Amino acid sequence: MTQTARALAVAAAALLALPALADDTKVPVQADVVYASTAPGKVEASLLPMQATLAGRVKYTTLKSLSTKRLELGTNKPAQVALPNQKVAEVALESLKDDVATVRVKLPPAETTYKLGRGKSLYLQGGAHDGGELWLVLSMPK
Amino acid sequence: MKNPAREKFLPLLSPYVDGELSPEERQQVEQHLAHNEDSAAQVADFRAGDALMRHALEMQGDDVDWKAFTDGVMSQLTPEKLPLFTRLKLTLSEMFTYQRGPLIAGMVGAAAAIAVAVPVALKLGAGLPAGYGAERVEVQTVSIDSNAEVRPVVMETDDGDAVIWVVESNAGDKTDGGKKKKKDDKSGEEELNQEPEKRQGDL
Repeated sequence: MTQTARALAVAAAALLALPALADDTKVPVQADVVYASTAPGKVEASLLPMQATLAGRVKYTTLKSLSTKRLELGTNKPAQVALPNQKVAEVALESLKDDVATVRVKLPPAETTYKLGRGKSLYLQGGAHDGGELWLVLSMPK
Repeated sequence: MKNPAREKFLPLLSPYVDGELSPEERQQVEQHLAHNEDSAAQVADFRAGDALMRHALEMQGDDVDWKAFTDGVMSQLTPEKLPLFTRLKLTLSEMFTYQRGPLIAGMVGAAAAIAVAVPVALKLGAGLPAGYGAERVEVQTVSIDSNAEVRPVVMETDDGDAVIWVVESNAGDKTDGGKKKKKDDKSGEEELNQEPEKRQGDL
């Protein structure tokens, strides 16, 4: 094989391979684990919107962010988020239709499917922990 | 017996043969040579010697490879720097002449990379601002493990967020420190009243 032919073969392979890679769409999702309690404490400034959202049912007086993880969701590629109470949330891309992603979240004992909202969040109660509760907050990264 | 005229012109004979005298001196020497046979004979000897020397040098010169000499000299000369455009044109011309294959392969590769990168960049660029989200979070299904004695309560807020509470099945409408849920709550709270044996359902 001549040098020219070899170079053309490499270029052709790249031409065929790159679109396939480009089609492997990744949906970014931010997963925050938050500790919440009704015991007197401090609410972090970034969690004030969460406090207001949940206030219709529970008035949390302590909100503390425990971890933040950026997930890249692809088809058949679930991501995991570990909670401090030994639970593990599994987040996967269910489908992508009309540029709107449907995500499946398995956080025992519940399993939820929902459509992502731009700038919106899904709050999932994650079980008891250290006298309070854990919340898994899924949102689109800013 | 010494000839005073010959003594005078003797130092001028060799320069005369070599052509180094002024016109006046040359004329005086020629007049002297016309009347002095010894000096004339000596001039003839000088010329004969010069001819022999020239002939010998020419014979030596024929044995030398002057082409190599010329190439050697020329290679040490710094050529005049050409204008930028001319140099580029010359370089491209040489590349197309002597390196056409690799050049074409490189151009094809670059074109292929551009053909792939531009649509991908446009796609990514167009997708990033809006992301893959709708106007609001839309909870579609919530299911609970059949063994768990809890039930989900879904609340969708006016802001477009959604909250999924997991409450005990026998806990009524209360959660940890919570207050009683109202059916007509403006926040859009919705409870999944599911049968214990059927804890899955679409919203």
